[in-house]
Formats: sequence, structure tokens, C-alpha cells
Amino acid sequence: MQKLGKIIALMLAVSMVCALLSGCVEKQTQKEDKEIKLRIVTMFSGTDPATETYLKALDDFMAENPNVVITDESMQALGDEFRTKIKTDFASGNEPDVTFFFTAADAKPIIESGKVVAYEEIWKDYPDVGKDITEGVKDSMKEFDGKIYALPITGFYEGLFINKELFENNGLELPADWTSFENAIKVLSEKGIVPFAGPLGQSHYMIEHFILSSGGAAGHMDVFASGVLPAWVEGLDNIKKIYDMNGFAKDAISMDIEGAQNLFKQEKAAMILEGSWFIGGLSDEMKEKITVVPMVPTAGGKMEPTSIVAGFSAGYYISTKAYEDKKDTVVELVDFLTSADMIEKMAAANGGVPAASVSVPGLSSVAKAGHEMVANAKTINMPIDSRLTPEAFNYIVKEGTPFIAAGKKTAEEVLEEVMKLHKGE
Amino acid sequence: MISRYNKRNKFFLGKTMVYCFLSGWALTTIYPLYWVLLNSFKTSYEIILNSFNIPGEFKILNYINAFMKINIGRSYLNSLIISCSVVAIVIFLGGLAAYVLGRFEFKFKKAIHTALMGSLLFPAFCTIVPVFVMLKNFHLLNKHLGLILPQAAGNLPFAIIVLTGFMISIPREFEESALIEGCSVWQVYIKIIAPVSRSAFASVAIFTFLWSYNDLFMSLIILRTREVQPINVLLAEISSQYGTDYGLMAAAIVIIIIPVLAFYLAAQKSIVKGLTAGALKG
Amino acid sequence: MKHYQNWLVISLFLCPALLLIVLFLYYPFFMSFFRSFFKWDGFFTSEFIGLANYKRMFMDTTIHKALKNTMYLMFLACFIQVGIGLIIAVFTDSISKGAKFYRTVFFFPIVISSTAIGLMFKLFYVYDGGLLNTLLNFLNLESVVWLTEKSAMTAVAVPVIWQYVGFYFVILLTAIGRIPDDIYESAYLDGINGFEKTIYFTIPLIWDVIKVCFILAITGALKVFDLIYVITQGGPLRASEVLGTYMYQKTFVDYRYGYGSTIAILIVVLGLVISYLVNRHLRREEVTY
Repeated sequence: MQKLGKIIALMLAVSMVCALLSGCVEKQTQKEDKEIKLRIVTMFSGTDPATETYLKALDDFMAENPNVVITDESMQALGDEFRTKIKTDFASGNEPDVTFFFTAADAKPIIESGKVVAYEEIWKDYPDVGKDITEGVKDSMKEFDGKIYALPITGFYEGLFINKELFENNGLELPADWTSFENAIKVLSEKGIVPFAGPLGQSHYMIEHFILSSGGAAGHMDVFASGVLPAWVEGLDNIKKIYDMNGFAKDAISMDIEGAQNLFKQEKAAMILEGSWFIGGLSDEMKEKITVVPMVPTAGGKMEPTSIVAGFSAGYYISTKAYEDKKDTVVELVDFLTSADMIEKMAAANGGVPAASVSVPGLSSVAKAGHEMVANAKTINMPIDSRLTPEAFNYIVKEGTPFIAAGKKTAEEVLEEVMKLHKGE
Repeated sequence: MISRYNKRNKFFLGKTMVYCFLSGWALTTIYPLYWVLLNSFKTSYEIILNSFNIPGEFKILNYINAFMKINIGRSYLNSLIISCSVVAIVIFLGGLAAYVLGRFEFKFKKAIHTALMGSLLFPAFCTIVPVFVMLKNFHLLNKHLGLILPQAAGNLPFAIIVLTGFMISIPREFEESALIEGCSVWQVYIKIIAPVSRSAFASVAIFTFLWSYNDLFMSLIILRTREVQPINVLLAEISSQYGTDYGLMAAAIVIIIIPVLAFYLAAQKSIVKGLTAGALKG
Repeated sequence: MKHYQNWLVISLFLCPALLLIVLFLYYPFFMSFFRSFFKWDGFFTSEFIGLANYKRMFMDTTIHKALKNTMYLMFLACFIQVGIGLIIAVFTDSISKGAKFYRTVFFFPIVISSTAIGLMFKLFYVYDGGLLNTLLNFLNLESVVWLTEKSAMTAVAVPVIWQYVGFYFVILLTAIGRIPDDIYESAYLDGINGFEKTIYFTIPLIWDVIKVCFILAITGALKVFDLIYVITQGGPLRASEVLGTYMYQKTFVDYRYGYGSTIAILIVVLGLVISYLVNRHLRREEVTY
């Protein structure tokens, strides 16, 4: 016991000394007067491809403004911890001065709490902030109250990623309409290739695109405005149809997004519905082998063939508290971070669609195809989950798609329930 | 003679069976560690293709990546400050409380015991928001102490319940004779109860250390800048890319488990048979 | 004895620990309990809705599934997990050569994070190129889909149970190690064998600790979350959903903190009731040495 006692005593001593030391260090840095401290939280951290560019920008800003000390509390957005961290901060009055966070459903409660400033307000005094961001992009950032609270840098798009090589080797054209889409599925499935890497266990992107494919942009936007839309039912039924045609892998019902991505990356599957972020994780060789196109419209459906799901889903927020206390500095920082130069660098780093009209050098062939797809799109919708409550959307994912595919529930049943959950809001 | 021979044979068979069973189980526990170690030398792509093969060449790229991206020394130090403090608090306060609960008679004993059992069940994500607000009001956010206190609280119920289970079965004669000799309760605890329970203390210390060290959720939310974050937070961050970088993750796991294994091996010495008897005689 | 009722000692020894527990566990938990009567997103909006969350919980078919699965896990945890833990503890105690080796390696699974173990089992079960199917193909057998509605719960239970056997092993080994040798000595003279020794001496002598293990196994099974979350996310078709994963989904994915808190209350109440029952039924004469 004496030994154990000694160990504990030693541990206490060590940790106290360490705590004291770190305490001292903190005090010393706090001493300088007149300096302005800014706290910023973004998702550019860890292995996020834009991390280096972002950190360099903060250093540059501090070098130009020696009186400003920026504390960077960024954390990579994986899973739900990032959201939880930000929301906990805002809910408990610990909000950062500048926050890079999601818009729409995620931002709504934060905006309603009045803890972030609308840029309309800021532009009265500083009309130039974010001037490089194109008007169309700014428009797309408008929240439920018609105001802009976040300035974006890069955007995303979603689409049907196709392994061109697998299609060519099997004598197939890229699918242009529903018939050729179904034909490709039949042919590939007979050859023992998984036609479509569809993760029915996590069908987020499939739900989007199958509904878009049958309902068109307008149907995709319509969240139970007048009951359950038949196009939504048709969209979910189409997932079952492809499942019954053996269009997905054998274990599709239990597959998650990563599993589907791996099938596609190993070239065991020919198609996958994914977003622009998917490109970052591909090998250079793969990037040249594949292309991305809009989802195929159903026969007799309302979808315009170039319609896509895309948008700007995150941006820099300025907190009300910071705007009251250190107006000039926060505005200057955000202006710096959303300049055309920064947008170009960030887009080059993460492969996203730039929010300003700049040309990004060194794009891979699939990334070029993606940018082209966005440029040619007649309609661009934000994803459905930005309009549905999280609970309602997750009901389709968890209690819907897999059950419908397995024939245990009908699409009508599921959507009725989703509508109830959504309207209960 | 014949019966003796039989007995010995049976004994031998028994021992063989024991070793077979233990070795069989050991295989299942060693394999995963081996698997992780193996995969830490592969690229992510190789792991997806085949995670069970021996890598063609051992690449230390994952380790270089991990070491480049974070200040490993500083984050190990943070981890040790936090986890060792948590262990010290839990052992000290938990031991005292367990002694009282195992020995003393008082009104609310049962109720306290039930309450402790209940608190074993509180999930961290159900208590985090109020805890966060509280820490903010105490100005403990982003400070080691801000994580140490809730982690210590979270491990105390387990420690108290396990230690109480041990202390209940210590014969009372030892302490009673000491009391008659005029020792104070504190002296009895320090000189008799604690030494007798040292193996129990050691196993509680191991698990407390382990849980505190591996607790990602609370560390992520309470500790916010790199200077104070423990190693698992930083490695969790760097090891997951768009999708997941399995190779880097495997390397991160190897880096993370080294201190825990070291702690276990050190503490294990206290969980050895016969020490109790020795302590009592001395 | 009067000494065992000294109030000053009781409060001085007990209060610091209780204070921490009340401050960081009970107070936040009761805040949550309070929130189970609200429709609350966890952060900003909350609206009092009375018992609506509780009504919803009783009607929720996913809860029924999760409850059944959790009970299944609890059963396995008590019998298989603690059981194997006890067997390997007794075995390890009975040998002298190699005991240190076994003590070390049995602890391995606990130190590897659940995420990594989950990932490994995921790669065992994967249909395409997973370890199990590779083995089957090697034996010229057809690949099998391992995670189906029927098999998923057992498939996730294997790693959940296996990972923490070492935990009970360490606790039980500690308890066995404390039994003084002289207790067995007279028994050996009577020609007792190892099995009888375990049944008649070892188990009764460490009964209090075994009881603690049961309680820990039950509470542990109720809280199971990360392994299942990594391997199946409760799927396919909710077949491997347990209370822990469903509560996580409701609170952190669906932002229904109020309802999530209600499930948390269910977990705590269940744990208390079952632990109480176990404690009562396992009461024996106190054995000391």
C-alpha cells in the first residue's frame, strides 16, 4: 500500500506542477494590453483538405494586424460532434466571435436566438464585406426570414458518379434516360458487376435523387405542401424496383455509405450517388476513370435532365456579441477570409465549387465534369434534408428505404408517417 | 499405487485442458492487436483491398503523418495530467466512501447504494449540456480541471461499488483490535483497510485510467484548443479523412494504447496473489 | 459497535465523493429528467408537453425491438461474459507458469478503442471480401450475407460480449488472489479436486464481488452503444437496435433531446429495477475468511 500511496502522491504532485506550469504560461500571454482577441471555430482542422490553407490565412491576418490574437478552436466535422460543439457553445452563451457553420435547418435555432448578426445589418456600415461572392450565391444563402447570416467560400454538388471504364468494357453507353439506366443495370448485374453501389442502410443521397428523378425540381422542393406527393412515392418505389432487379449489392440492406464508397473505389460497382466531397478521397488514377452526371429522369417524369442537387451549405457567421464589442476587427477578418483570393485557394484545396467567379487551376477530369454539370444546370436545389426536420428525414432513412426495399412497408405508409413527424414541428 | 497413478493422470489432463482453454482465449485477444499493428503499416487502400494480409512492405508513412500533424509529447502530457489526476481523485475519495459504505451503519446507506447504482447508468450525452453550462459559469472551460472533475465524478460510482464489494468481506477483527489499541478511524483506514485492499485499488485504478484516457466525447466538448487537448482527441481528428483513413487510424490506435498498456503492466504487479496475507502479517 | 455509527466520520469520508457525484451526475441528470416533459431540441427551443414523450415511448415499436435486444445482451453479459471471465480467472489463478502472460493478453481487447474493434468486426462480416466469406470461399463454399435481419443481433453481440470479458477477469482475479492460501490447505488434505475447490470454496468466498460483476454487467449492457453504432448502426431493418443506439439517434441525430431524455430515464429505471432484483435473489449468507 505504501507503494501505491506513493504512486498516487507522485501523480498528484506531477499533475499539480504541470497544471501550475500551464497556468503560468497562460498568464504571461494575457499580459499584453490593447490587443484584440478573437475566437474562431471552423471545420477546417485535422485532415480536412483546406486546413493548411486556412491556418496560413489566419497567420497572414495576424501578421498584418499585430494587435489581433486569434484563438482557433476548429474541429473537423465528422459525425455529429461538430454540430454539438457549436450548438452547445451558442446555447450556453459561449459563442465564438466568428463561426463557420452549416446553414438552413442547423442554423435556424441559432438565428432565432438572435446570437448572430444578419449581413444586411453589417452591410449598412461595411458595404464591402464579401463583395467578391457572386450575387446568385449570396441569394442562395438566404434563410427562412429572407436574410443572409453566413458568407460561404465553397459549395458542393451531388450527382451520379459513373465508372466510365466499366461501362465501356461492357459495351454500355452512359445512361441518358431511364430505359438505358435500367438496361445498364440488367447488363452489369448479369456480368457479375454490382451496377449501383446503393447503401440502403444509409440512403441519404439516394432518397434525394430518386425523388428528384420522379418529381423534378418542383416536386423535390415540395415538402408536404398538400399532403404526400405521388412523385415521392414513385421515387421510393423506384429504389425497390432496382433492388428487385438486383441492381444493388447482395448486402445492400445492411450497407452504409462507407461500404458503398469502397465498392465503387475498388471498381466492383459501376455507379454511385455521391457528392463533390467524394472526389477528395479518390486515387488520382480513379479520378480520370470516372465522371459525374445529373441523376437520370424517370420516363414520363417531370425532371429536367440537367437538374441537380447542389448549393452552399455553410459559411462564416459573426456573433452579435462580437459585432457589438469589436466590430472592425471581426468584419475585417471575415472580409479577409471571403476574399476572391482566399476562395480560389480554398476551392483548389477542397475541390468544391468556388463562391466567387474565379477559375481554379489543376482540376482533375471528374472535378471538371462536376463544375461543368453545375454550370449547365437549369435548376439547382438544396437537399431535402435542409427542408425537412432532421427527425422526419431520418425516418425515411432508418424506417423507410430499407423496409420498402425489403417489401415490409409501402412508400405511402412511410411518407404518411414522415409527414406527421414533420408537421408536428 | 494404482489410485495414485490415476489421480496424477487426471491432474495432468486437467492442466492440459486449462492451458488449452486459456491459450484459445488468448488467441482471440491477441489477434486484434496484431491486426491493428499490421494495418498501421499499410495504406488505406491496401486495407480496403485486404486487411488480413501481411503488408508487402512495412510503410511507416502513417506514423510519420501522425507525428507531423500533432505535437505528440504535449498531447501525451495533457492526457497524463488529466487521467492521473482523475485516478488520484477517484482512488482517494472512492476509497474513503467505500470504506464507510462497507463498514458503517447509518440510515441512508441503502439509498446511497441504490443512487450509486443508478448513476452508473447515466449516459454522458444526457448530462453534457448542464455540465457544460456549469463549467462555463465556474470558468473551467478549456482547462484541465474542467475535464478532470466531471470525469472523476463519472468514474466514482463504479469505483465505490467495486471497492465496497471488496471491503465488505474484510474480516472485522483486524480493525477492531486496532481500535482497541487506540487508533483513530483514519489510521485504521490507512494502516489496515487500504493495504488489504490494494489489489482492488489497483484494478479500479486501471479501469479509471483507461476510461478517462479513452473518453473522447467529453474531451472534445470541454477542451477546445490544441494546447490542452489529450492525445485521443487529436488523433481522432487527424485519423479520419473524407471517408476514413484506416491506415492512419490504425497507427493512431497503436500510439494511443501504449500508455494504457504501460499503466496496466505497472498496476498489475499489485494484483498478485498472496500480497494480502503478507500485508496482514506485517 | 458504536464506532461504526460515528456520524462525523461517516460524513467526512462520504461527502466529498457524493458531492462530486451529485454535482456532475445527479444534478445534470435531473435536469434531463425535467426535460423529458418537454419537446426540446437540446439547445434553443423547448415546449412543455406533459407526458407525451412517455406515451410515445410506450407506443414506439422501435423501442420494443430495442428493449428486447437489450434484454438479450443483458442475458449474455451476465452468463457468458461474467461466466467466461470467472472461468479464465479461476484457470489463471490455478496455474503458475504463464499466468503473467495470460493476465496481460486477456486485457488487450479493452485497451483497443471500441471504434477499432467495431471496424474490425465490420471487416469480418462484410459480404464482399470480408474475412468470414474469404474463409468460406477458401473452403469452396458460397459467400453468405452475415448481417441479416435474423443474424444481426447475434453478430453484434459477439464483439460486445467478447471485448469486456477481460474486465470481469481482472476484477474476479483480484478477488480470488486475495483469498489466503491456508483456507484451501485443510481442503487439500481431504483430497478435494480443483473443480470442487472452485464450487465450494472460491465462488462462495468471492460471492460479493461476483454480485458486483453482475450489477456491472447489467448496467454495462444497458449502456452498450459504440460497437453497435460502428458495426450496424442498429440495422438492418432495426434488427440490432438497442436502447443506447436508439437514444443516441433520437438525441444527436434527430435533435429530440426531450424524447432522448425519456429513453435515458427508461434505461436508468430498468437498470435500477433489475439490479435490485438480482441483488435480492443473489443474497447469501455473508462468508468471510
